[in-house]
Amino acid sequence: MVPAALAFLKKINGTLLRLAGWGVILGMAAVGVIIPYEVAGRHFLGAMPPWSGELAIFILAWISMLGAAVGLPRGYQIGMTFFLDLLPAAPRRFVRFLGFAASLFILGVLVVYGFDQVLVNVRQVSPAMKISMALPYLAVPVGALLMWLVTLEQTLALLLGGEDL
Amino acid sequence: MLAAFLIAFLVLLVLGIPIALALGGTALAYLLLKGDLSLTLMVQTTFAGMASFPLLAIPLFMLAGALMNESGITGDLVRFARLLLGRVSGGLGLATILACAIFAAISGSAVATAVAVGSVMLPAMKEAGYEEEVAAAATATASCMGPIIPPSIPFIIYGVIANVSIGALFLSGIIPGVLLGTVLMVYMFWVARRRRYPLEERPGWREVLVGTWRAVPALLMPLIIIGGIMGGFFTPTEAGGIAVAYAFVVGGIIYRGIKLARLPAVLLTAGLETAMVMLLLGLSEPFAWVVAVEQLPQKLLSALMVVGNHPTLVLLLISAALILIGIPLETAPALAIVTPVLAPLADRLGIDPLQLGAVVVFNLVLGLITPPVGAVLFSVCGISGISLERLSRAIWLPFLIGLAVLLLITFFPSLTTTVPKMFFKAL
Repeated sequence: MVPAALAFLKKINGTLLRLAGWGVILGMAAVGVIIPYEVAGRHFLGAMPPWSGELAIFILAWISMLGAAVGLPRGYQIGMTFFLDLLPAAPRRFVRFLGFAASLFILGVLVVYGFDQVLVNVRQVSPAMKISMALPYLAVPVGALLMWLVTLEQTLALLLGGEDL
Repeated sequence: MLAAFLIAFLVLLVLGIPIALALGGTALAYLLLKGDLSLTLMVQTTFAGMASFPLLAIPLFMLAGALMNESGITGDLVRFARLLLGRVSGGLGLATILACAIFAAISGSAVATAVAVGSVMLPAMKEAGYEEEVAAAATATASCMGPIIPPSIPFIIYGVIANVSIGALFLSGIIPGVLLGTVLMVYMFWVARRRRYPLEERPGWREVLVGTWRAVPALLMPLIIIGGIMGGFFTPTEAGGIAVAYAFVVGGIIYRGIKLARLPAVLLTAGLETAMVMLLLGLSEPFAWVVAVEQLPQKLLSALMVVGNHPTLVLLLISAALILIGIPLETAPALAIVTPVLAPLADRLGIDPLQLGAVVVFNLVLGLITPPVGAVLFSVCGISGISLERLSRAIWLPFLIGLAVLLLITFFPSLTTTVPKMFFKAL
């Protein structure tokens, strides 16, 4: 039962993270074009586009949350494993399990209350682009949900003993 | 309540969960214990911690560094440094330090500097007869200039959390960075003379001219970035945008080193590095909120008053604590943790916020080369193939040089405040 669930979760996470990775790539490309465009507008064309700064900031929120999820299984989100490494294998696995459980709880709160904030902000519009503030806020619960799924996969892998993390 | 907050933080750290989550989790534990506050505060503060214009400098400088590295520009920079210093005693070592300084003015990260310069220079120094661990230790320490000489990711993090001008912080790193490079060069010269390292062959005029010409586009980049900020033409975020456009044009069109097929991979790497820092910044915001509500800085200040309230003494105490914190923690997470606590102290103690920023960043960057753990130590070991033990034995002298520079900027605030005050009249 658990191995089948893990295999299924791995497959889903793989697809979701690939999509999120493309989101990060497009977001970085957009920020890399928008800001030079804004500088050119201010210094050479004499007019600053009113939407550029706001759009870049909203994209940054998405890059941050999606990128955090894509980077999680790749070891980008550094933890302090200094004390963990001192432990023998069995207690280390137990402490890792506690750590995963804590991560799942923290991320779960960000997912639930994040979606709540999205709903609260649906009618709120941004100052420059006049788009719903739900769009930038959505980055928080979506990114947190992806991280929650990755952490769940890591927890199941640890329970099955397949991976000595 | 404060004790519970600190215990929750330590427990989450010891559990080994990502430090960003440990910061957020600590704030969450506080909100749950308080009971009368809505958990939506977590989401609101996290979002606010990530969505600001100054923070856009982070993805931009990450991307500019990645593009410059992809373009193969490092090879030309290193060749130029060798042409310039090869005939001096220990010239290859000196060239490594100079190349690190120039690369530091393009990239804002120590690990990126160590990898870019080290992968070219460490094999060259080994071939020329330098002891591997001496070469590796000098390269590792010189890489610390990466985040000290502008641009600098740690200064952006510090500036955003502490609400200090990032442009001014960038400029505060110039003298400490150059000082570190200069003293390291003197050390390398001394080692080379004692150990009779060979000189490089005299290059022909043609070689000198071609080598210099090829390095010009790379050398212009720091001038544009730092000059633009100093002259008040760009904000640091805008300078980041210019750096990306410049790196793309120079790397893609002049050097022809950036292939379109590789671009998604470059964008993804820079994006993931950005997200790593940004998640920390986002989740440090609710943490910082609790630190402020619980008046942790004020409580720390009263504790410090028992020892004394002289600014230099306090800075020395902070340094001692930061060196210890910097051993197990990398720069970005350590900054996310300590900045909300330390920054409010500057005002109350009459310490210039620029000096405090420079001292804090310098300290944590030194942590990258402090055995037994440090990201720069690991990457230099990876490139050179020498063991961590060998590198740890050789690093102590260059590390002490770094420590001496740190003491200098602690005792003499003008080393960090003069340059920014020359160019930012409002300071």
